Amino acid sequence: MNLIETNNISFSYKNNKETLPILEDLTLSIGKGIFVSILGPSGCGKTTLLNLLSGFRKPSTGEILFNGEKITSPFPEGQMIFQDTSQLLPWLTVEKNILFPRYRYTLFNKKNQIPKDKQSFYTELLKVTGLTHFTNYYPNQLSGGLKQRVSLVRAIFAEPHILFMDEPFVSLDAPTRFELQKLLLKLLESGDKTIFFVTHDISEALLLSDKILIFPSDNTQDIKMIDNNLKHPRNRDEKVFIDEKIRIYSLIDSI
Amino acid sequence: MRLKKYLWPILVILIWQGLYLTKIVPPLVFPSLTDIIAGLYRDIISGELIKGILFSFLVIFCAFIPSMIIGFLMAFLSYRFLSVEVVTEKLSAIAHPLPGIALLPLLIIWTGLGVHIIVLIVIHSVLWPFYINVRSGFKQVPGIWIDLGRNNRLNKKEEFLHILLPAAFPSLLAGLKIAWARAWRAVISAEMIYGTIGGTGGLGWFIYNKRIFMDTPGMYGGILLLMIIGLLVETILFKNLEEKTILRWGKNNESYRDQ
Repeated sequence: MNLIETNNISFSYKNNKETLPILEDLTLSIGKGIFVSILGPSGCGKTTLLNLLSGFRKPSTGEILFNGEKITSPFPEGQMIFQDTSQLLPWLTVEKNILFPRYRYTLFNKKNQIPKDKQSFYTELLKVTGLTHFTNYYPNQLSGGLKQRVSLVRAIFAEPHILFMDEPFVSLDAPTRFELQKLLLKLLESGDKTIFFVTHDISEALLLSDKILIFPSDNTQDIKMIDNNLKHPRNRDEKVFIDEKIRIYSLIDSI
Repeated sequence: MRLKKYLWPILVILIWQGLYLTKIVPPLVFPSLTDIIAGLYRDIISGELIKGILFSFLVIFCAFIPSMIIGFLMAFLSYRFLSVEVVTEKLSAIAHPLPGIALLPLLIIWTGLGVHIIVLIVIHSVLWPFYINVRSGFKQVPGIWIDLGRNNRLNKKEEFLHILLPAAFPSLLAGLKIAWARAWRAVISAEMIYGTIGGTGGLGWFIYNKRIFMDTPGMYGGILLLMIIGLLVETILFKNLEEKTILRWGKNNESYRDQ
């Protein structure tokens, strides 16, 4: 049994009698530990697919199964990481933000309780992401890159089976983006998490993922799933990388 | 820096006293500062002023509690239910611009004479601005935070306590500040117009009374005290609360772009 499956799902937006079809008859099956990039031009339905998989939206027809069970609403085993750096709660410190998915925090709650068995996991995560000294900062005191690091740690600390990432690095400057891409790979080294990563950057998809789901710019064409066989560590300046990039580009822009 | 802070008050005092000394304006209109202070001291010692302040505070307190509860409930229910919002929005659009004093004759006909009239007028002037602020606070909660709550299966109670309430808190505080200023204004003017009830009046009645008896220094004393109380509440209560909360959180509320 695969971790997440979609059975002939379709989705369309309805707006004043007009229907805008986004997805039609999509069947996918993704196993544990697979990094899937969802690649395509803006407005093609990448985010919609992510929202369907994570339970934030319901498909018009068909069903999505997680561990064999039908998804009807968002679930904590699949943590969402958004592109907006304002996804952290500004009234909580970095530490409380990270603990929020598991333990919640009210406005004036002063107590911080990390269970003993989670303490080493927590300190290790902070060390790897370089956030150790920022735990008592408020989100507004952090740069965009640091905020996205905190969001990443928040999602991972909730120990999900799946991470849903909606262009999480798109609002960052190029050096920070590269740094966070490397960090993400490092965090996923253990290989027990399935990732759905929305992006419109071909290099990013090639650098990170095992499989790439390609939304063509011409939406009469079918969505294609390709395997990314480049060996780790991948380097965006290598010839094989550039060749692969050109091949994928031709798949997207197929007119 | 410290000197600059005190420069303006000192300048105002000097100009005031200078104007008095030139006697361009009759002292009955423009009394000496020493007379004002002496009058203030006399009225505090006699207990007249303290009684007035306590009375006004009591009226504000009695009006504030129900206004906060009703305003908050109205805001929250109209955030949750569209059918409630339609009603409350219309109601506030009609009632908010209406001066409380304009309701005075109506309220007297409906409910008879009594201190409750002043309380009702203060409720009217507090309720609407508070409601409007809290409601816009709830409305502006970024969808991304609600989504975070849904992702982690927060139930309705948790969503309210852990996301909606803190997210709307800056607006709630702003509403409270405006409500406080409106309450103070309303209580003073209602007292002046409605006058004393059963021998006790508030600070508004005190100031009005001083004018009737041509005790100008006493009148200025009352106004001065009014300003001082407003300033104290602003700096001690609200500044403190703001520094502990929204100033620390910073402005990080760019709303989530829905895709």
